[in-house]
Amino acid sequence: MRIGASLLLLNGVCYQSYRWEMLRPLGSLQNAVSHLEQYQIDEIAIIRPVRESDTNESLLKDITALQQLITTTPISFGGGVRDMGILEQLTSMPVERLILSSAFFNANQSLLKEAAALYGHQAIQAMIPFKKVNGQYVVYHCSEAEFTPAEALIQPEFFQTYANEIVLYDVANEGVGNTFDFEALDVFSSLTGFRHEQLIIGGGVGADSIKSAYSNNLAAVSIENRVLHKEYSIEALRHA
Amino acid sequence: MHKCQKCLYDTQHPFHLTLNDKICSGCITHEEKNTLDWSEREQKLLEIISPYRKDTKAYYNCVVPVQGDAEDYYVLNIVLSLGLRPLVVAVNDYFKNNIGWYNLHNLITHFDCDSFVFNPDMTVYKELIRTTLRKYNHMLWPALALHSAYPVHIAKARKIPLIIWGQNQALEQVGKYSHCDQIEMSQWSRQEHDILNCSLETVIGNGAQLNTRHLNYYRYPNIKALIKSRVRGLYLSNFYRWDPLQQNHSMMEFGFQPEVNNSSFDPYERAGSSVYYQMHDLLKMQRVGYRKIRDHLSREIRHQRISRNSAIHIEKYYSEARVDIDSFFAWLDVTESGKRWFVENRLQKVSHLLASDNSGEWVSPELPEDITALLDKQKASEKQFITFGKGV
Repeated sequence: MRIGASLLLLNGVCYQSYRWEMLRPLGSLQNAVSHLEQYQIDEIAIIRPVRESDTNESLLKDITALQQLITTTPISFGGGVRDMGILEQLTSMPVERLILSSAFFNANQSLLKEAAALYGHQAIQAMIPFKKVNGQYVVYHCSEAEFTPAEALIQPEFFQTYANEIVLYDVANEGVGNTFDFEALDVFSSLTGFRHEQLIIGGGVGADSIKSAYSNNLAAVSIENRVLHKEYSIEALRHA
Repeated sequence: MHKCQKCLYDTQHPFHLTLNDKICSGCITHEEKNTLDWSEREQKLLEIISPYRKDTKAYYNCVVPVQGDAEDYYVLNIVLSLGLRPLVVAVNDYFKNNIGWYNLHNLITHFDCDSFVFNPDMTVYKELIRTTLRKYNHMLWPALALHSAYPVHIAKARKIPLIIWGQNQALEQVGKYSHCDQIEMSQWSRQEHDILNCSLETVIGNGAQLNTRHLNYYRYPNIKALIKSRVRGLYLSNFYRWDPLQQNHSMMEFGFQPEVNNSSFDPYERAGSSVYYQMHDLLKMQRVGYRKIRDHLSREIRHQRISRNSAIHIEKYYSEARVDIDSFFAWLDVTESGKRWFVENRLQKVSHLLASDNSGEWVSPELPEDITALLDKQKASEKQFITFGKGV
């Protein structure tokens, strides 16, 4: 199982997100990536938290930061990737995998086909930001800026056709350790038709979550805020 | 640029900050101080340090890095009350005045702790200061690099498992973390916050006249070696309700001597430095557009000892305080023409604040009673730039 980290990038600067409600600054993208490399992380997901709105200016700053990035660690990139132009720009950058969310919920077949053609099917990850409300799982549709019941939004055939892996992101527990909702695994596995071995979890991931992730045979974990909060966090989590 | 509606910071703060409903992340995090159960948090600290206290094999179980600041008195007092066995480690930044040396020696004498002071090679040190002045308009980078790395080298070399720091500046100023995150010392955090995201290699590049084998202690120890040693750095501000003005004031009972300065009302933080409220403060203004007084006032707004409107007025007042830079350039062995070049090319925004000396009448502005009640017995320093201070 891969141990990964996720970094939120907005206007060229990294941020931390707490329960999808509050952003705190983190700092320089290069500094964060360089240190995650030293701490021997397996992969880094750089996500633009463009939940409600995006601007060309913001996208340009983030793409510039990405262009200047020096790293040998595999990078996944996503957030606001909603047209072909952006896809083509990203091919010249150190990005190995794409994380798409709205494209799957909108069933944007042309974008997904182009992404698969440019990057390969193995490089496409579908992100599902979710939380549980009154016993029901709802999913955040980024371009619509709203939560929708999961069953209404997920079209399994699109996920199976175009995604290699799914990132299940627990927004309610984001930024808080050891609280990832593991009950969601079987729910989304059933909805999407993806096996546990094709699932990545993020949001509320800590040492206990990683133990559970191992026992559930998941593909990877993606640790958010706390990955840089302590010197030995990654080394300790790897041996969790 | 967007401003916080509560304190004096804006989104151009060098640590970055976020605004959530027009209130900055620093103010939001500060509110945790009023809601967290601090006795529970102290209990968490006791659980963390318990195995280290029980281990009696090593004579020292923690390093306490100090500068002779009032905060160091506070930290050491807590460390001893927790039953830890500290080794006090200081780095001589060569900027201490007579009050600075007094406070450092009094700290060690009063608390009766084992200690030592590292004196970096002066030639290397000054060359690094000249380099960082040229490159970044920053003069404290070498001192900050040493203060944040040398204690870690000592802890690793002597197998001392803990390093106890006071406040985490990024948390206190811009709320970069929650207190509940229990952020610990890390190489990433040091690079991001302590040394301006400039590694030693970036600083020296190919312009500094330095042999890299003299620079070991300016670098953080190798991470792989550190992982083996498991040296861990804790911030007490995660476990105790941190109120610098209040707690620093209380350190006078241990003999701490506050120093009056004309750049801030706070006589405790970095008292005893020949540069902190002078050249360093001026350079900060040039680089980021505000002086230390803004940090102090934003802190006091959050502690509800001053209103935002009053703070705005007082910031304007202190921001006009004149600064003598001649003594710093003389200490740095810079020629008159070199100093003139620097003033003309690097201090354009603040040239109106230059003064030939710090003497002259200075009248403190009117401050709220909640603040003045915590300020007393401040003295002016008598001698600056004392290389090696002796005695208490």
